[in-house]
Amino acid sequence: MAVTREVVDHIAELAKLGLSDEERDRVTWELNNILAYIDEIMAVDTHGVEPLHHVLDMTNVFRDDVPGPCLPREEALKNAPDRTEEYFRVPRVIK
Amino acid sequence: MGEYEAVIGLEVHAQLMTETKAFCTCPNRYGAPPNTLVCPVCLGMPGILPVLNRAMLEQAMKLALAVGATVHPRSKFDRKNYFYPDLPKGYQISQYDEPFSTGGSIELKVDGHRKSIRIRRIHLEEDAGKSMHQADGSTIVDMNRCGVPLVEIVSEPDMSTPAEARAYLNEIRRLVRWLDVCDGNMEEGSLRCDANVSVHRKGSEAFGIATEVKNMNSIRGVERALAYEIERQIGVVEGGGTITRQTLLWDETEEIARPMRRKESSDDYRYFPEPDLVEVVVPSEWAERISRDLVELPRARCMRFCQEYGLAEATAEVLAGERGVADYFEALAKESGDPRRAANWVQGDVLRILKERNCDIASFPVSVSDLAGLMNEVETARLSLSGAKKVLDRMIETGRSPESIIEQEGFAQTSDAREIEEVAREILAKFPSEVIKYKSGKKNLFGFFVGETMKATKGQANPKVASEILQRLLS
Repeated sequence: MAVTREVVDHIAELAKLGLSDEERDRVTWELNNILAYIDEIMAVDTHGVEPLHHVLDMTNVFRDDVPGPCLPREEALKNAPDRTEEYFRVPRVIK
Repeated sequence: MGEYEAVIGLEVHAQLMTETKAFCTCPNRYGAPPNTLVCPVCLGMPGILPVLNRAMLEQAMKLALAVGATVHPRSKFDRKNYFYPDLPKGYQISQYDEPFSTGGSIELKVDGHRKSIRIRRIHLEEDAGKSMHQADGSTIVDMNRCGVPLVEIVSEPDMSTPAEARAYLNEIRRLVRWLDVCDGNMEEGSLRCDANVSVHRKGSEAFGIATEVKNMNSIRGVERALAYEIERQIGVVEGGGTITRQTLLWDETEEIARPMRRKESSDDYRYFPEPDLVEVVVPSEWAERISRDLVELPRARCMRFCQEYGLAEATAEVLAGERGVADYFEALAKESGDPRRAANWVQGDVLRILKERNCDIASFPVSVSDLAGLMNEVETARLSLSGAKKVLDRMIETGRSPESIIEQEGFAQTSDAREIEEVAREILAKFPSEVIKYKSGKKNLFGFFVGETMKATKGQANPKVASEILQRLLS
């Protein structure tokens, strides 16, 4: 499948990314290259091979239900572009 | 609904009652000061790695096994990608094509008929933070809820009326509380419900186009929102229009559902396997152990109450409405040795007091043995039934023992015939003209004499003994 400019716009919209014309062209070219590589992998015959869910040969990695320390609020809010005393503040999302 | 039929399916999200969040060790607690139960994992900082909480899986397994679902030997997690400020990672960890459990059902009784609602799947996921829209147009976000463990319970579209949806939700709520996996509090959002609903003409093979209704924060709200939306859809179809697939938000105060404004493209979640979590494998022994350890479920308990204690089904159902109440009743039945009277006390006074004081059975201040003691006082006629009820109310008000209330506040009933006869004679002497009327045939004055005697003894006379004495004195 070829990635069109429309597909790139759609993905950018979903990720709330604003791309310049130049970036859109570059990303379109890059994504097509990546998919071309995937096509090469797809050419391998996987008949009779179980699907792989995870590259690690592990299952059931759990932790016990025991509370640990949290970040102090000041630390948690430190990198926020905008905040109030107690909350993260973000631009209005629902119109 | 007339010549139309509705088709309703519900998606219920239940917050599990673990100590910690799904994938990090932050406490899972409601009502803490904003943004104090957060860590790099639930805030989605770069480089973090989630680790699954075993208790989350076990609580979800309890629920799945309790509804007769299949817990799959293998399942995995997926990322559901969407952009919203209450989801700092940009994706929600959920389960997509391999949920940990499928199948099962919930049995309902609505308006006298029984119905089984099939469950399509129950899967694990994490909750998002909470955003609040401010008057100045900005939005503030509290991440305490972010990463709290959820189960999503998806029903098949097997319900056809708002009343069935209500009954289904009541049943789910009772079950999660019974199993101690969720507190079922819809106001605080620990139990949430979205509904899919469509209408079609009766007898038509094809279903109508469904809409999704969200934002209902009570079971009554779900029932009302569905009634509203079914009515609206029928109106559209009747008017020759077509239903469009859309999401509506229920407005509890205005009692209308408004279309949610959102771009179609935002429903593109681009699920893919979560590479940060490995597969979950549930060996059959594990599921069997959880299944074996399950408490007796509400329906089984209700049936047993009928058989073992000879209770009417309606009574047994009330008593099995909540596990704590059922436990209290059963302990009282054993302690008092009189299951039917115990059922009357619990169904009547205990539940009334809980409702009046808006508290749950766990904080009911009267112990089983004190209430059994009170029942015994009625049995031995030291207290009248109404006197015992008054003593119970005083015990609740004062926190004192039944003994001290009975003695100090004079609730004890007297069956002492001499004492009662003395009072009865005084009453007859006080109302000579009534006595004449009675003797000349106005027999309904008898109740008046009993009443006056009771009043004069401050309700302490055994009414049966008082009646006998008055009969004798008046004959």
